Amino acid sequence: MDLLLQLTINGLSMGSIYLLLGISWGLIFAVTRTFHFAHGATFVVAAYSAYFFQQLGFSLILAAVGSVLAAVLFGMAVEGILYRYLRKAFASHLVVFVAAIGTLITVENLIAMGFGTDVKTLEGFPIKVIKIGKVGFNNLHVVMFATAGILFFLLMLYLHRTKTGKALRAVISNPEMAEVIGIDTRKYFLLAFALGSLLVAPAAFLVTIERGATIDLGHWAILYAFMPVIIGGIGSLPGAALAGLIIGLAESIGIWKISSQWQVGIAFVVLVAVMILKPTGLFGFRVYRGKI
Amino acid sequence: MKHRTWILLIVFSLALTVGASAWAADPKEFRIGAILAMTGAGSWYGEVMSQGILTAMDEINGKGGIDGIKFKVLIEDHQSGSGAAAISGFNKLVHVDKVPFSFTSYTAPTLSIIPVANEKHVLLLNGGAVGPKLVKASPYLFNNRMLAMMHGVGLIERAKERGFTKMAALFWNDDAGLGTHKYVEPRWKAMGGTIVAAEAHPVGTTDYKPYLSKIMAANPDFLALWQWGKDWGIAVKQAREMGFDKPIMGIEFTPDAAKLAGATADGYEAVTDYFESKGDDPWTKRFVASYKAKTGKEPEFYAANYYEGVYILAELIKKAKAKGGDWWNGKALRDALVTIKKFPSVYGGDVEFNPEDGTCRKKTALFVVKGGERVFQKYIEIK
Repeated sequence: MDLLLQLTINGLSMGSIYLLLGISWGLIFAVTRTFHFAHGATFVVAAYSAYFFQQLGFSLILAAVGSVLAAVLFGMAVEGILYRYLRKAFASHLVVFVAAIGTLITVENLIAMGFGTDVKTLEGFPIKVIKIGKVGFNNLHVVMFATAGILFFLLMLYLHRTKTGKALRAVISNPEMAEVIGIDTRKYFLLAFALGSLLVAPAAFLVTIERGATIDLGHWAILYAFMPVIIGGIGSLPGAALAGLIIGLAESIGIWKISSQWQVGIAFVVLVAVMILKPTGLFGFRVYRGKI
Repeated sequence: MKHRTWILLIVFSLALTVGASAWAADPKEFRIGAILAMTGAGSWYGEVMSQGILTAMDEINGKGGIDGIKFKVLIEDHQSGSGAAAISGFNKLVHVDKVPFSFTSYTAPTLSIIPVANEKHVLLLNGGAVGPKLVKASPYLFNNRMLAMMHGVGLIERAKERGFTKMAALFWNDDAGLGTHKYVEPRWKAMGGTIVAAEAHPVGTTDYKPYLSKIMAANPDFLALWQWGKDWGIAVKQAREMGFDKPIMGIEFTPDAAKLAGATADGYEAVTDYFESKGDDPWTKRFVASYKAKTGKEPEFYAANYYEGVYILAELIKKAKAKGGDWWNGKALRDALVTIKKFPSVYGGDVEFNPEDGTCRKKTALFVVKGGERVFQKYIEIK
């Protein structure tokens, strides 16, 4: 029983990161229909920016703020410079996708050139081990869960209670109609990238505190960013959030009775199972259009 | 008629002489290969190994090379363990660049290139890979580092010395990690120990919490790590941050992983190759000074192994050349290695190869991590 409880706690902490990855990428995809593979690059930029600011002498909190700003600027730059140009040139989805992969690889290599390839760590988080009987976790895991929950709540509040949030939802539901009623979709595309990048930065920051940053984290991040979106249902941010937690819990609890070495495959088993049983995802009502 | 015979004999002799001299002509440069992890998760290894090679070559080339012939290394990337990338790079080295010798690293890439090395008679020297399958893998493969299974045996002897009986093991799910565990397991049981948890994980795992959960639930006396790269650092950090308070022992220490683990690595014990960069050996001092001047960093044992490898190759070249004939090829270099067997080591002392299985014996020691640094405890003789 202790083991099951331990695995559940582990799953929730990791699932919180997947939740942030899922809703951040899901928001961008729902609004712009861009398979933003370079979201992994945003993740890496956020992680290394935090490290960079800390090396400059900033406190951990200020490094976190710098990390968020860098991620937002980077995300907006990718949309404003690259994707917007490609859309103007009537580039196909495949071309945009390839350009995004190229951006991720380029950014990873540039960071490797600038920072080296060794692990970069963030100092200063006061880890406190919490033990309940034989079950152990720490305050960082609590912060992960709380951060994911608060950011998701704030995002939903923003989308449902503010004018710009409602406009974003309109673009998600029907971009053509949104343009007809006077919504500048280009502006909201940029806003979606800014918000999505803002949401992925805390995930990058927390992961860097827990295990350090390496340039290859971007590939890992993008994998766990689109899986919750597909499992949760394209266009459904609550679906992506729930799916992020489900993947975390499934990966963790899944090894309760089977060997831990199969853990990596569990998320894909969930993905394939959902795609077969409910191709629209858990909360998706249509494959290509959604609403929040 | 008589004259004609003489003329024919002279012409034939001249042809033989010219032919033989052309056949055994010195190369313009000693062009060798290196298959290393230049990109990917293990690029730190590629960086330090290549710098070790280049440092030695700078030293030798700076003194005019060997009989005026200088070294040149061509580095190919196996992308931190890809067999396919290793084969591709090695084929280029062998078929295009015609190298008779290549450094190699990582178990899977090394095993991948062996068929080509055997066919084309290319001598391989590994100073990084540790998998048990490297033993007797090829007559052309030699390892100038102790393999993981030997370190593993050293670790369980230390565990027994500390009075432990219940082992939990966390290891790479590949030939190096799994192979080490399979080698160690019967020996540990024969020593009266038990294994209460054995958790295999993919190389490069970053979330160890699921594995550690099972290990903590099994309540072992200690945790043995058959891991390399940054993995051991992340595992130690996450174990301590989950409240695992039992001793953790491993067979690897690298500064990048130690840095990652930070204060949580304190008390971590490792049985591994012994290279003391602050050692008194004159050659060690010279290497450390050269390496620092070149890279601005302190060398560790991976850089030392590859640096040492270049000097081993230099000895092989001298021996093969002295023997005469066609000497700049893998077969002649291998014959020279089998003849010499024992070479000076940059660790201090010697490195001695076993021609039967390609393994070597060199200094191994027990370290404990204190304040992020490894602190030498004692030498360990592994049988």
